[in-house]
Amino acid sequence: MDSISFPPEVLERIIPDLSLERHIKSGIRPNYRNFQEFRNIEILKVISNEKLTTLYIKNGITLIIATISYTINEIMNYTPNQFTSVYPSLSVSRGRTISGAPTDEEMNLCQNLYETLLANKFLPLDSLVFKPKLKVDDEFIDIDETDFSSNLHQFNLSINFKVLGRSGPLFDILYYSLIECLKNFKLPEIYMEDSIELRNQIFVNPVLTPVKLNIQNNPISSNFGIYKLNDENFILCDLENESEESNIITKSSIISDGENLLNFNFINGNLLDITKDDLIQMIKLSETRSKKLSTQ
Amino acid sequence: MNIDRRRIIAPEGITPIYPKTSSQQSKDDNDIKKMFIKTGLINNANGSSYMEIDNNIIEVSVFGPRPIRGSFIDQASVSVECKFLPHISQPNEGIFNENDGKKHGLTNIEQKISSYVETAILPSILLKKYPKSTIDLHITIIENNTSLLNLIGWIINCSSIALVDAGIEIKDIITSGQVNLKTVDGNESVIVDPNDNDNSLEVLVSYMNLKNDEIVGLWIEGSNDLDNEVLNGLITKCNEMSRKIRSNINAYLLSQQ
Repeated sequence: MDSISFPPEVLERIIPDLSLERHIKSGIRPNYRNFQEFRNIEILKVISNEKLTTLYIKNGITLIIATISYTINEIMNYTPNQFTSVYPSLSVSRGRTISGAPTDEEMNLCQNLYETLLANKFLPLDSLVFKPKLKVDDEFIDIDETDFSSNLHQFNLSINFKVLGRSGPLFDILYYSLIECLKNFKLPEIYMEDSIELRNQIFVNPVLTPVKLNIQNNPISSNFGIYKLNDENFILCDLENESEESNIITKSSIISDGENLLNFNFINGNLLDITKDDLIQMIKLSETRSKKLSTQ
Repeated sequence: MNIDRRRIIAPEGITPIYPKTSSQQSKDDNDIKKMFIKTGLINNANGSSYMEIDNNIIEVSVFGPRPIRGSFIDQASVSVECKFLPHISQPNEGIFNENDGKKHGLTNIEQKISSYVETAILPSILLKKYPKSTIDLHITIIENNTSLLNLIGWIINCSSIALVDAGIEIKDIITSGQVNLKTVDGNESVIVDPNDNDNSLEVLVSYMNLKNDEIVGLWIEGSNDLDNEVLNGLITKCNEMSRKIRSNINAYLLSQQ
């Protein structure tokens, strides 16, 4: 009986576990990257105006279009020195779906992004709360405290991610996009007209100021997978493709700004014997990557 | 009260009034806007195209032909879904999307666009070649600064290129022409590929130019009186525009070989 041979990309689709094992044995990954090599991140374009900021980010073959925008709410009071987050929405382009409903992956990622940013304490509420100015003869003045319309207002930031060409876990690149969007986003000045007819409306003055963030260094999220072969644990950085994603379920996601560990997530799905050295190596790799990306 | 528990939605706020800005490039009435085409940007789609036209950006991904589950069908089933990025203002949204309760499905405008594109491209695809298959077109409007009909015209052009990039067998590449008939003080003038509708009569015609200039889609919007002669003139102008775009697309596709 003749043996059948398949090219590597076909074998990866048919028997992903065998494909991964054979590649690791040869000292290379199915995506031809080294074990400790991350995909390149490139900001292609930044478009900014008084309504929104759009970033085009390429990560390997994945293209992300991230658009950050705001809504304005009138609030009665607020507690200073608190932190808030950004409302995320995500759509991963993958062909015919039931239009409207987000997938489990989209829902989980949005929730994770929202909570991680809140826990990181990067976005102070103080930078989003404001009192509208009053426009009198082309000059902007502060509204009198006794005036009924001097109520506090707040910007609520929302971000939309459109993912084209997904090829691996998305949390890292979405987190990177979120932080870059926040750094690039500028808020306009909001004012009211000194006219009784226009008193209930608020106007946008396109004098933009960056959002004040509580970020010292550049926080970067990195993901790692651990693959066991012949009693040896291999750490693979930045998982990609079906064979790695479906077979390596012992993985961790680490957010580091080069000096501090901001978030550590570890799931031992393959029930491997993880040593302290494995964990230290992953943390060190994430710190090195964060420092390197910050200096780029 | 319906609460969406699947999304984290920002509180609905007050709509501020933005200053009026115009970032459109001025062009001659007979000129067609400059375009930038790129194909094959999306790796996990079978074909894709990306177009920048002035300051409008359209991306189309084609997924298919993919096997369909369930009962046998003797020809491909085509679906078109057009989505604007959420922060992009949709043309005529004040009229069409008002009282649109479905916030997360397709809006009325997105449905209109999807349905026109599907009608226009269906005659060109050789559906019988792909039994028991689906072909899905996903259109994303990344930036929009033009009128509805003009945008649809460019979406058709972009979709045709994506179909070619996907290697789907087609009879011809569909291209569109869009002109406005403007009436000022009783004088009528025709504007080819306009930036805004400006209360003019808008005409959009999609063609298969290869043989007989077959019309595969026609949309006329406006309240002007139209006689046969004027309509013929407008359709001829649309044809000229679609032929020019077609020759540019041909040149691009030949350069990719």
